Amino acid sequence: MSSEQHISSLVVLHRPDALRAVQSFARAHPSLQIAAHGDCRCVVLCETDDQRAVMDLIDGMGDLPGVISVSLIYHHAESPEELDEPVGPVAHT
Amino acid sequence: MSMTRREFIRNTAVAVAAKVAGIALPASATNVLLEGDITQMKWSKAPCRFCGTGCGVNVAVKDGRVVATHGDVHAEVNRGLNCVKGYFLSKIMYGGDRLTQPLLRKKNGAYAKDGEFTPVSWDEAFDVMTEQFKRVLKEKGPGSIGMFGSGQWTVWEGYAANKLFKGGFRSNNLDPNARHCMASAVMGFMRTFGMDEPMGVYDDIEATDAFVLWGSNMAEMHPILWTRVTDHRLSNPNVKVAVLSTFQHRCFDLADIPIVFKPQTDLVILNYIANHIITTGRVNKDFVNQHTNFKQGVTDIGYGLRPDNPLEQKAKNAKDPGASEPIDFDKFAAFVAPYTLEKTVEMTGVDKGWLEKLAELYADPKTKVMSFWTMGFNQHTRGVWANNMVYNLHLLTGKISTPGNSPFSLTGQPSACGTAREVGTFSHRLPADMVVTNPEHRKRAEEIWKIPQGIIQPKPGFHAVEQNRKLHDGVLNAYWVQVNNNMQAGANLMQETYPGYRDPRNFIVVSDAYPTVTAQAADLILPAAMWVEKEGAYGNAERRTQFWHQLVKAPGDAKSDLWQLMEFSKRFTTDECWPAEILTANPQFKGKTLFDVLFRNGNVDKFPTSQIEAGYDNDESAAFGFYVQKGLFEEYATFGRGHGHDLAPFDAYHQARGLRWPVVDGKETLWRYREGSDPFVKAGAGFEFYGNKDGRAVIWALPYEPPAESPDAEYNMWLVTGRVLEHWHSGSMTMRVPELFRSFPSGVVFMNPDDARSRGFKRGDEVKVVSRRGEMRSRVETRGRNSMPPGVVFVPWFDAGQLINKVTLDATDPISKQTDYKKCAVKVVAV
Repeated sequence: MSSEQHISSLVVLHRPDALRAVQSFARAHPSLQIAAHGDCRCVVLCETDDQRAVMDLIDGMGDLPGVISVSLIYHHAESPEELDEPVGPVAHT
Repeated sequence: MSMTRREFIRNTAVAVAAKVAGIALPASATNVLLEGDITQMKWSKAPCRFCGTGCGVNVAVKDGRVVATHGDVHAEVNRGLNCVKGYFLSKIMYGGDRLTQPLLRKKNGAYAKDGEFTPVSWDEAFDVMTEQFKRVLKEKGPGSIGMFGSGQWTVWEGYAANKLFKGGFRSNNLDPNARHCMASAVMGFMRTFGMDEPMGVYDDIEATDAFVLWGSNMAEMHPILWTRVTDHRLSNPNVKVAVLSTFQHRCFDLADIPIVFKPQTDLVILNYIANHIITTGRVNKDFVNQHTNFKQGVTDIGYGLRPDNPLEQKAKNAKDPGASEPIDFDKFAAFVAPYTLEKTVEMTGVDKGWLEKLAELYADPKTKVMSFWTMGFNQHTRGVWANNMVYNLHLLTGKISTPGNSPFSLTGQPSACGTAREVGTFSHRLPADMVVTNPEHRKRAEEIWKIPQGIIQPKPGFHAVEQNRKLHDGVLNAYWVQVNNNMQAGANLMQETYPGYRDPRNFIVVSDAYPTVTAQAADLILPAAMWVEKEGAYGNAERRTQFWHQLVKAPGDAKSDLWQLMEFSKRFTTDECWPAEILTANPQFKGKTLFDVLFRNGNVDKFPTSQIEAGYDNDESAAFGFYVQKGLFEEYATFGRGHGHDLAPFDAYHQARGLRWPVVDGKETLWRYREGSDPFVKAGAGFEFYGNKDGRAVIWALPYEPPAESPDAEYNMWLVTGRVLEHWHSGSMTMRVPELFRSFPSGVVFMNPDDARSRGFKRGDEVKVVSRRGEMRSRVETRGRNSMPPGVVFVPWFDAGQLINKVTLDATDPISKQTDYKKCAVKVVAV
């Protein structure tokens, strides 16, 4: 098991009637969270301690009926200890 | 406000994805894009290293190493999206078996064809290579040396190779691997429009009413463009998607009109649609009368096999397959009239209703249509015809050069357009659509290159497939391969490719970043720098030229192809390469090295290294003492400026996210050939296809002809080869990315479940795929992403452990010389 925590975000394009399937897939996988969605697209946040799980979750979502594409947008890996550190005041732009 | 890094990064991840998806978030969640400040990484732009889409990526460098890549939200092509290959780009340079020093086959301390690969210095490598090339030049002349290049070369690498071979060594035996992927597209463009590359752009995707995929599996091969197609279709319920293929693949998930046709019968469907447009009275007569001509091509043109093959001897027009005669509209209408709906149903096996729906997309004047194709048309023994025939549909209806009306030839390699085609690294071409057979074109090239008249040879050299045949026959003896894996990619490797490489008469050099099967079949391996280890330029499928800076150093002694070509040229003099009478007439060239005359010619060495943007390395310029890339690019751009191939000044490309040529007065051109959009169209013309002297595009009367080989009682299945999403081409880069390797680790035979059952196979069984030429082992796959019709198997070619090109046939399109990798007859048997 890797000691790193992986945070990534995905954009899922799907037919409008497939939103429920994506939602229930996310509920069934605790590392996933639907952060935002429109009629035919979702932003899915994925946090896991297993790098390989990201690819499996992409494949799993891609195989759902009505899902047309899953794109990995952002990926970051760091140790859990570092992730728990506070960041300084964030300048708002 | 304070938060943990976890919260900060989660917010950033969501904000970036929401921006890409176009979903609004609450304002508080969007003010987080300050990662660079926290992580101390330097971000720069670069185009992706893989396919011809030309996505922009942001590349993060930390401590001299690429550590991350993201889709570039400022890149118009991909707008922040990335496919899985692009996502893991940062890992392609760091495979454990990266080549870092030259390796020469040696025995008892000296070069030997049957020796073992031994590490040597660059000096020793070039000494032996020079000796071999000079031996062949002296014994047999320039016709016996050659080079196989690539649509993955940067623009200046391809340009330097073109100069070195055609203007230095006087050999036209230079061809790119783009011959395997884009040659039919090129000849299609030249025959219809007189000028290469699409008239439209990716912006057509968001403007169209209907997409037609001719054989293309964009979902896996061009996933980012597919995402744009998907987004447009899902957001606009009236938009239609037609997907045509010889088997069902992932694009069928989005298909409103799904069509699986019998191999080769795409030609029938194309003529049926033309006939439908005519018989239903929907020809755009004004457009056709003002802007087109009609021609009828010769038929029975053979299959581009060796001349002694019975199929070639039988073919009536194998010697002049491109010949034609002018006809008129009525003759064309009569020519396509036999392609009725009934006949098309019978020949293609496609349901009548789907065919009619498809034909209506083109015929209905209110529907804007974008057609896509790649290897399904191009790797086809009638690939040029197929390209011509799809243009017919757009020309008959006038659906061309306006937003959303776009016949769009997709590209497989990152610079098949920018380097292989625009620079003209084919065996018959020169830059900017010029050809070696035209005396005026040769003269112009010699003037720009500042070399004497008569240096460039008038006869085309050996094309890709012919190179393998000539190596096999001992005609081509000194051979250099850069940035491609032709042992894995070339068809019929057991009978043609491998015996040629290992023939003791031949000396084979392979430059690559990894020990591919091609490198392992060579006599000398030269370690290459890749991607952002050098300053580069690529040109994508929509005419977009994109630059990047060198961001990191190449490992060990690895050097860029550009450095290799230029450094090697120092070892040859004009006296060794040019005829005495030319040197007597031009004494100022006597005793000079090829480096002096080709690269120290006042053009290439014009710009000092001080013009390199601060903060970026440039190892080639440091080695040669001038800004090599800028000099080469500016000399090259001279070829195209002023007549429709115009490129912007060099420095503009380091600022922009690419520019689509022709770039005139700093402005790129989106739709060519239309007044108001293309500066080269004369006022009042409306449209002008100025690649042809009369300004008219050609509508071609061409028939269906059968493939070179079809299944029979013994070899009873069609074999189709191709790619999968996770791997690019022969897998030499993607197989070294652990995530991609794990996702699709080895090749399989996709097969219909009934075909498997009737042969006693279960999913996962090991089987042999056997043709008349060779056999390979793989495993049966009856589920997953591809669903095969009875009688057709699909095998991807990325896996060096399962070389499907032992099996394929080297039949080519006789006009383009491009191999048909999509059709041959095999049997699948138990091991």
